[in-house]
Amino acid sequence: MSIVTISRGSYSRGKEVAEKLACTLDYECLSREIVLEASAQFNIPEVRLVRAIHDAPSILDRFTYGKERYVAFFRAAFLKRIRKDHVVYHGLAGHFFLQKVPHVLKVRIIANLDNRVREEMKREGISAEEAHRILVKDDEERRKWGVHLYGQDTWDPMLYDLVIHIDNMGVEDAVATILHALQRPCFATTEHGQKMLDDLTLSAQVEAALVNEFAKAAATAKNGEVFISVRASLVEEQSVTTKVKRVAEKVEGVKTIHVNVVPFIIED
Amino acid sequence: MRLQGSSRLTTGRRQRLRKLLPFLRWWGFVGLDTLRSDVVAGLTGAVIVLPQGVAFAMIAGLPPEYGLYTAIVPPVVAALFGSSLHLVSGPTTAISIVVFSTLSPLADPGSAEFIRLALTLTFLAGLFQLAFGLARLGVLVNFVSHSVVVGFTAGAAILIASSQLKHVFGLHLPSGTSFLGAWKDLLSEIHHMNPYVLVVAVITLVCAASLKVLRPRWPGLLFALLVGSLTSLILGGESHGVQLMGRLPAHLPPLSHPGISVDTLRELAPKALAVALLGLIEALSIARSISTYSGQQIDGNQEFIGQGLSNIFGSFFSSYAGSGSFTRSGINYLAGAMTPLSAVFAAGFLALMVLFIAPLTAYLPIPAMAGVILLVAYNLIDYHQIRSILRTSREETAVLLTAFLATLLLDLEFAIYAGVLLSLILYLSRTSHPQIVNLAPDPNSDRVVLNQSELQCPNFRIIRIDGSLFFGAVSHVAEFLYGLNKNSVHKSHVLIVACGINSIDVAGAEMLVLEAKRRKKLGGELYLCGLKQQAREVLERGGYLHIIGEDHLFDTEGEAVSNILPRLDSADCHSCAHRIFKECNKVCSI
Repeated sequence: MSIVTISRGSYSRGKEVAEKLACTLDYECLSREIVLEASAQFNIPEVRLVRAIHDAPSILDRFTYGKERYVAFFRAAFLKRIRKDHVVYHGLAGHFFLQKVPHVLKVRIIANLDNRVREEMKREGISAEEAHRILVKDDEERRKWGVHLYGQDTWDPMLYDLVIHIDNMGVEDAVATILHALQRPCFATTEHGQKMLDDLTLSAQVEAALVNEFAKAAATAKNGEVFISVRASLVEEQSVTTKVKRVAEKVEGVKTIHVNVVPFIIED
Repeated sequence: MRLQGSSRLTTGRRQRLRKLLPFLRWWGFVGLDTLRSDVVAGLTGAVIVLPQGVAFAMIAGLPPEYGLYTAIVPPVVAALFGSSLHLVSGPTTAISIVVFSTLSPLADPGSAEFIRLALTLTFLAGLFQLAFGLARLGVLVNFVSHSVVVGFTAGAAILIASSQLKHVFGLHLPSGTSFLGAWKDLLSEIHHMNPYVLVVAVITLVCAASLKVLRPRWPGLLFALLVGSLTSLILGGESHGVQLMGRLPAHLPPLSHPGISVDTLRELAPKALAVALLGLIEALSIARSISTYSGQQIDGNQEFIGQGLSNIFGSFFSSYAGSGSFTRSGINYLAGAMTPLSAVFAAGFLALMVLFIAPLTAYLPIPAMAGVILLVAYNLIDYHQIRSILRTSREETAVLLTAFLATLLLDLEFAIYAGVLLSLILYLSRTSHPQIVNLAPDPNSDRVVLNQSELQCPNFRIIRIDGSLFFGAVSHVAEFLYGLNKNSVHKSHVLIVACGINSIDVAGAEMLVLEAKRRKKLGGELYLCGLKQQAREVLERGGYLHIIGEDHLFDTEGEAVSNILPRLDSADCHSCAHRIFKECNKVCSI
């Protein structure tokens, strides 16, 4: 009765670990499926979603909120699926979305760059230089993505409960280590943890509903009571509040709505 | 999802950089939504400032294009380096009239020398403002009474209106005369007025006023100028003596250099200080006024720096002294501006307009501009504030009238200094007279609750002091304490409820000690209760509490009253008619 997220760089054998773990636990193993679900639910081409949760943001994204928009859709679909429990997720961004949920075991799998290069050369049939270039670029994109959206580097160990260096132990030992960690009571699903996940899911649904009109809307939910912050001038407070309420009240599970208009943020 | 683009930890380096480049503090909030709002607000602002810039330059005695230049460069610098998110700087009526009145005795308005002096004045005023900001003197503006600003502005409005009347009536009168002189000249020449000029001015004025009332969000001044120009064309104004503005040069603010020499500095420095002070007071008042709606905290020092830099930079780009504009800032906020980029966009749009529309001013009649300026002057008078000041306080009314009359009748520079000085005197007078109220127990309460009352116990007086006990207030408080049962041989016990005393300095502490000693000698005592931590620490550290007596200090009013009453001499209580304390009845029944 748990959730495991596995974050990994390309060719770090994270997928193998996730599949083996899910098989051992008889859990669902999810990755691309969530992208497909989000794509279907919000009617967005899969390729755009994949790019949005993978590629580093461009300067234009900084102003157009292109990333935020797609990430909101992906997050909504991800949380909706994850809250059903018994899940091993391997892929992008999961550890960021579930950062505050205590019973989710967040694992990071790392590997030597040389080994990853070898693996990529073998699978893709490309030169060492090409494989090296692709991997370095890929890691950098991930790093920038995390920093832009969540202010944290994907490589920061503080994001994870467990960091496994796969070259030192192999897939079998990695799975055994994760299974051992999962036995600890702190990773068992509790009522409190599940409620937290339900609230997160509801807030993600509300944000996804609002994101087309209010790209940077931030929602928090508690037992169906939703608090939404949107960026707008106070001159437009009334009309913005009405508009936000009209959209948010259509989301299933929303009982009451509180709207907070944020006219500016000044950093120290 | 977060509201901001970045939440990375703020390092010391980042903080230092943000202090140096304050626009980085709000830059993270900029996005497509804010840009959209700011572009709309900027466009609105540019349309508003176009006629204003020309009008204000006329008021300042400068060629009209200088008003537009002042609305292009300084607002950008002030927006990026100031504190307010919504303040729009640039040419203003009040500063324009001060520029005119200070420089017109030194050079002919509109002449090359006048322009050179105006740029030098701007540069110096900017330096003063920057220095005030760096010295963190932003707080000083808090001491300038609002009544001074209201009085000065009303006076300036009448001066502006008076200066434009010759253009409204089409009279050829000398510039630069005093307020009374201008009216005297006007009345003596009124029979020579040009009816064509008057018609153009009046139609423009009526149109601008009507649009302001009926369509307040429209660029009414611009429409009114169009109507005025058309009226002049229809009447064949040019052939009937209606003067036209002439073609404005369609180019961006040219580079300029303020002439700085020892002589100029000596001559202009005091005048620049007055311009700087007025600019700061104006900008900060407007920024604070808008912040009451937006909820933003204004950093006065940063605003000073922003205004200073804007004038310094401006003086190198043919811009004369500017400040915050209430009209444009208010419209900017109401148009939905979210960041200072709206002011940057407004400047950009205005620059485009100067390039493409400015030549059309060739058809703009001067009486139409005068009509518009009359409305601007009328709007400058804050009737609501004046009414409430007149109703509320005699002191404030005196300050308002002084600032108003000084502006009209004396040197404007002097009027500003006089206003600032009056404000400080008013402030000092208030703080040096802390309110002292007589207290008595609430007869309906079971506990000891002290309320303001006329009732007084002849043996035991309870007072509350509301205000700090510092050197300036010592004399007033000492006099009050001395006056308590002055005519009795035996002095009463006095309890000072000190919860309203925020701070005590050495002079205040010594006054309390002297009063305690004096009362003791004459059979009374001095007690304190509810003393705040800071005040208590001063008394303790200086050894004053030891002299007053540790047992004369109580935490609460109840504790004080119950401890002091048994110490009183009850001999006179039987004949006392007041019966203020519950204990009075017990004593009398024995």
